[in-house]
Order: sequence, then structure tokens, then C-alpha cells
Amino acid sequence: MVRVTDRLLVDKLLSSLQSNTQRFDRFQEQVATGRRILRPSDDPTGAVTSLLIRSNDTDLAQSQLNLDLAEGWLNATDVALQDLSTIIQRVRELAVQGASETLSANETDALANEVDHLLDHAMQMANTRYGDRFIFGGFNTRTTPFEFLDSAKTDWQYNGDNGEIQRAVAPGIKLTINTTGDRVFPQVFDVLIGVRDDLRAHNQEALSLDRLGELETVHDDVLDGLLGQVGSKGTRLDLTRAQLSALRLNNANVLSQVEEVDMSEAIIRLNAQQSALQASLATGARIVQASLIEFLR
Amino acid sequence: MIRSTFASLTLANRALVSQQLALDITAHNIANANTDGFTRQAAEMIASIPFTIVGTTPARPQHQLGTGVQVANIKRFRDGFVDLQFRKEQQLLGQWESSHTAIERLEGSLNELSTEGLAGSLSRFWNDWSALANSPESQASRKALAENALTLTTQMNNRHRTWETMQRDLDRQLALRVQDINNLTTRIARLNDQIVRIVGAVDQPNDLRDQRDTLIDDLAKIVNISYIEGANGAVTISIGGRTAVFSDQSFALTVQADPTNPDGFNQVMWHDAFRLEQTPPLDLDPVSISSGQLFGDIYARDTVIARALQSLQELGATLITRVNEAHALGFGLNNETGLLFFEGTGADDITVSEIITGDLDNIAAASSQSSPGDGSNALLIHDIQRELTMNNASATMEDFFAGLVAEIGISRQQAHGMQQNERLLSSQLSQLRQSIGGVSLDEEATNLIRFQHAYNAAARLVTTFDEMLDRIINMGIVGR
Repeated sequence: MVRVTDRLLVDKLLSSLQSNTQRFDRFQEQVATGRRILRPSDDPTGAVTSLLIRSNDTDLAQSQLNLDLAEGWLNATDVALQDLSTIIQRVRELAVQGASETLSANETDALANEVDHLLDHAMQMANTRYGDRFIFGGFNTRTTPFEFLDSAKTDWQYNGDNGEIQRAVAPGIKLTINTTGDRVFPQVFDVLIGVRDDLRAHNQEALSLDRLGELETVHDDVLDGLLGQVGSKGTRLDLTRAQLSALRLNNANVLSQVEEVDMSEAIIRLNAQQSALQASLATGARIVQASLIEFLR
Repeated sequence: MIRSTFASLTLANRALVSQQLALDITAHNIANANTDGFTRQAAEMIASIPFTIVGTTPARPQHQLGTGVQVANIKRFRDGFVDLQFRKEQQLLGQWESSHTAIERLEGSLNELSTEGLAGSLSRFWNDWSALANSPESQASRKALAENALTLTTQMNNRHRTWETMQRDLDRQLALRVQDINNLTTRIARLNDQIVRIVGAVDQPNDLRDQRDTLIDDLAKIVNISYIEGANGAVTISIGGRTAVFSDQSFALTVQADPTNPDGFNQVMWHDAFRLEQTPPLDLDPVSISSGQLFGDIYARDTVIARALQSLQELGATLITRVNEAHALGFGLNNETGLLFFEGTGADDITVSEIITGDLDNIAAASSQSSPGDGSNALLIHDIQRELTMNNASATMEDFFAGLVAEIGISRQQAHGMQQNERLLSSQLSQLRQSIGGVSLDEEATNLIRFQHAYNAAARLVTTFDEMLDRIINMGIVGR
């Protein structure tokens, strides 16, 4: 039989008070912070999961930002190419008019002048900027990609390169977002210059035989192709955006499951622990009182 | 033999003295009810040697007549086996308590469950490279990158320094603990001397033994000891198989820088004045430490923290090498190439190169010359985070760091669990010890009444014998 001594009772009381208080403190901390893991040792696996998820989420958030900027760039490209398409359609109408024999010389010159303006407009499109950067110059984003070599606008040059600008639109996924100007503008300039000069020279034959076909090729084959590419990239970005949102939502869910405390459970536990603590305090008060000495007179 | 007329008085006197002695012992117990290390004592009363008297019948020529009581011994309630068990657990408790304290500090220095930690800085650093790819021409994104990179490197330097400080603190603590050991062994040797003398005089030095037992308890918590008590009452203590206390002599320990330890940390050695006085001084013998607080400190210093530091260093080194390799291949806005982004060799000295911070155009975002809009090299550097660069190409830097965090968490968890376990075992044994040797006030109060009654009764005997003697002495006037 264990012989119970006063010291033993006090020691036991103290140690149970201590452990009750510790547990109380722990639940109290959980309820106060709303978190289940406050240090890695609370749950090493959970801590690692939350660390990795948090950094993955930072990556996803950055990807979302990258994606938005990439979309802006693609939109700017799309707008420029759409404008170009309108320009070419208009030039085609003008070329069709100019090819008819009924026009006077003055009227043809007026057509030529309009084409010349449209050529300026096309040049503007070729030098479109997104922010402070030229979007059609490849990597050469800080120099004007296209320029006319003379005031008569008979020749032009490309100052860009064929650099493919890539963006990280999702973790591990890169997308080329730029269209280098040399893939479309040279044909456009050449055909526009050709149409203008043919109109000026009243060369109806060249207009109807060559230029109309060339315009069609530039419009249907080159421009529509590029627009299609830009459009499909936009679709891809939309899909990726949805995917990124889903991934981040999932991260938030997992993170809350791993890190956050189930409040109702924690509060119930806290209350239970509080009762236990009070009970041990109450018994402690009685233990310390009870002694034979009290009854000896 | 015929019994003396006054024998009864002597008997009553012995009874009085014995009961009073028992009362004194009870008082001593009550007085020490809260004294640490005190063991309850009790008077071991035996009937004193009987007196042979002439028999009253021929069939029984003699009788053995009792002569009352005597206190043969003042007994101490102590179980050597429980002591041994208790001290074994104390060693383990000391070991886990001290390593837990150190690991707790290490864990506290991590701040990885928020975005403010090293992992957060690292992922911000990678992100900045992909942000740079969004606008490689812009100074703003270059500046953000350079600043976040500096935050990362400073954080690494600080983390490394903090952990090193923890190691040094433990190293200093080792020296303090050795002083404690020396102090304890000296006191035990002194008590040995006193105890041997009292035992030699055929007496029981109970309270001195209690003191010595308490010192041995304390010593057991610090370092692994074994001990044996000789017949003369002296206890011989050895630490790691070598004698530390023998009779009234103690052998001191000392700390000395360990030549094999890369950080020049201390190891615990047997002090030997003779060897130290030689020129050049002769080598001291190391103390073989296998448990106790000393072991816990050394374990935390040389295993847990050292491993964490090594991992951190490795992470820093890989970061420097891989980022620099990739960075050197790219081109800056000013067409500079072959430049290094980081300087340093590991987490302790990593910093962003001054060439970079001095001219942000030197950050090589492009893969080709004269390509201000090219951010592909920045994206390549951004992708390093997904490369399996650590643990023999089996983990990314992030995985590796997460592993380190987990390792520290698990170490703490283990140390905490072991500490709780040992606390429980120790307290069970301590309770067992208390149950054997602790003072119960109820019990002592009962004894108080018991011995008081016995004392009163013995006093009554004296009165009775006094009356009887009175009769005999004043017989002359009988019948008058």
C-alpha cells in the first residue's frame, strides 16, 4: 500500500495544477489566435504543408499578376491588328475604285492621298506602345520598331528583332505574348505603298491584277492568322486565369484546414479544461486544509 | 542473582528517556516536514537486556526478568533501490530538459508560419524575377528585386548568427555546469569525511546522509554517474567510468577547447594539474558523457543546432551558386554579361553583389544582347526554385528548407515528449520515495500522542515506585 504523505499530496496537486494550467493555456492560445499550429512542433507535417502552400500561393498570386499584364499586352496587340485589318479593307475598297476606268485623274489622286494617310496610320499601328514599350519590336521594346526612310514614304525599315517575349502565366508555364512586327507590317507597308504608287501612276492594270490579290493575301492569310493566334492566346489566358483562381481557392481551403482551429471544438475544450482546472484548485484547497492537527485539542 | 530494590526506578527512567527520545524524533520529523531531501526517522525501540533472577520454584531455578525499553537505533526510511532508479531517471530528465530548452529556443527563432519568415522572403525573391520579366526595361522592378534580395540575404545572415549565438551560449553553459559538478563533488567528499567519522564512532549520521543523498540527486541530473556506498559509510562516485569522488577526495573536471571541433567548442575533460604544468602541457583525458544535462547541452549544440546551421549554410551556398550561374549567362540593360548576382559562400556571408546594387542595369534579365524587352533570363532564374538542386538532386530549395523546419519541429516534439515522459517517471519515483521516507503530519501527530501517553505512563511508574520505596524505607513505624 502506498503511504500518502503531506508532501506527496502537495507535489501531486502542484504537478496536476501545472499540467492543467499548461493545457488551459494551450487551448486559450488556440482560441485567441484562431490557429491550430503556432509553432512547427505543434504539427511538423502540418507546418510544412502550410509553409509549402503559402509559398505556392505567393507564386500563384504573382502568376495572376503576370497573366493580367500579359493579357493587357495581348489586348493592345489585338486592337492594333484589328485596326490594321480595317485599314486594309479600306485600302481594298480604294483600290477597287481606282481600278475602274471611269475615274478622273484628280479623283485617283485623291484616292492615292487617302491611301497615303492610311499608310501613316498603319505606321502608327506598327509603333503601338503598351505602357512605355513598343509591342511590335521584339526584344527591342525601347526603339521605334518601324520608320520611313524618306519623307515620300517610299521605303521603310524594321529596327526590331524577332525576340519572343515570354511571361510566366502559371507556375512552370510560359507563354509568348508578343507578335514581332516583321511578321505582318512589311507586307502591309509594301502593298500599301504599291497601291498608292499605282494610283498615282493611274496604273489600273497593276491595281486590278496584282494589288487586289496582294491585299487579299495580306488580309486573309497573314493578318487573320495572327489575329487568330492572339485570340487563341487570350482564350488560353482566360482558362489559365480560371485555373489559377481555382488553385488559390483550394490553397486557401487546405491552409485553413491545416492551420485554423475548429472554433466550436476549441471553445468546448477550453471550457472543459477550465472546469478541470477549477476542480483541481478546489480539491487542492481541501487537501491542504485536512489534517489531524486540526482535530487535536 | 537478586534484583536490586531500585531496579524498577531505573526501568522507569529508561522508559521515560526512550519515549522522550521518540518524542524528539517525532518533533524533528515535524520540523522537517518541508525540508527538501529530508527522510523521516524513527526510534527503533527494543526491549533491553533482561535480568536473570533466582527462580521461585525448584523446577524453575531462574527467571528472565524484563528491564524495560531501550532505543537501539534511530532509523532512516530510505530505499537504496528506489534512489538508484530515481537517479537514473534524473539523468535522462536532465538530458531531455536541457536539450528541450535549447531546441525550444531554436524553434522560437523560426518564424516560418507567417509570410515574414525566410521561406516567405525566398518565395518573394523568386517572384520578383518573374515580375522583372514583366517589365525588364523598368527600374522599378529592378529596384524591388534588389531590395527583396537584400532582405533575403540579411535574413539568412541573421538566422545564421542567431543560431551560432545559441551554440555559443550552450558552450558557455557547459563550463557553468562543470563548475556545478566540481562544487557538488567537493561537498560530497567533505560529507563523506564527516559521515565516515560518525559511522566509525558507531553512530547513525542520518541527517548528513540526507544531505549527501540530495547532492547525489543533483549531480545525477547534470551528468551520468554511478555510485556505491562502502561499509565505512563513504560513497564512491564515478562519472563515465572514472572516479570523481573517493572517500574524502574529489577529482575536478574542466572544459577545454576541442581541437577536433570545427567551431572550437569546449569539451569536458578531467582536470590534471600535473599534466597542465608540463611544457608543453600534456593532453587531458576527456570525460565520457552519456546522459544528464551536460549530454543534453552537447547534443543540442553539436547535433540539433549544428545540423540546422549546416542545412542553412547549404541552402545559402546553393542559392548563390545556382543564381550566379544563371545570372552570368544573361545580359543586363547595359549589355553587361558574366556578372554575379550574389557574393559570399553560404548563409553566413551571402549578400547581393555591390556591382548589382551599384547599377541596377547590371541585373541580367535578358538572354541576348541589346534586348531590353527580353526577360527570358529572369524567367530562367525564376525557374530555379523548381529545380531539384538540393539533397543530391532530389529536392527543391523550398522543399529542403521546409524539411529543415520539419526537422526542428520534430526534434522539439521528440524532446518535449521525452521530457514529459521522464518528468512523469521521475515524479512517480519521487512519489515512491516520498511514500517511503516522506513525513506525514497525521502520522507524526498520532505518534506524538502515542509517545506522550507512554511517557505519561512511565512517569506514573516513577510515582508508583516512589510510593513503594516510601513504604519500605519508613517500615519502622509500621503498625504503630
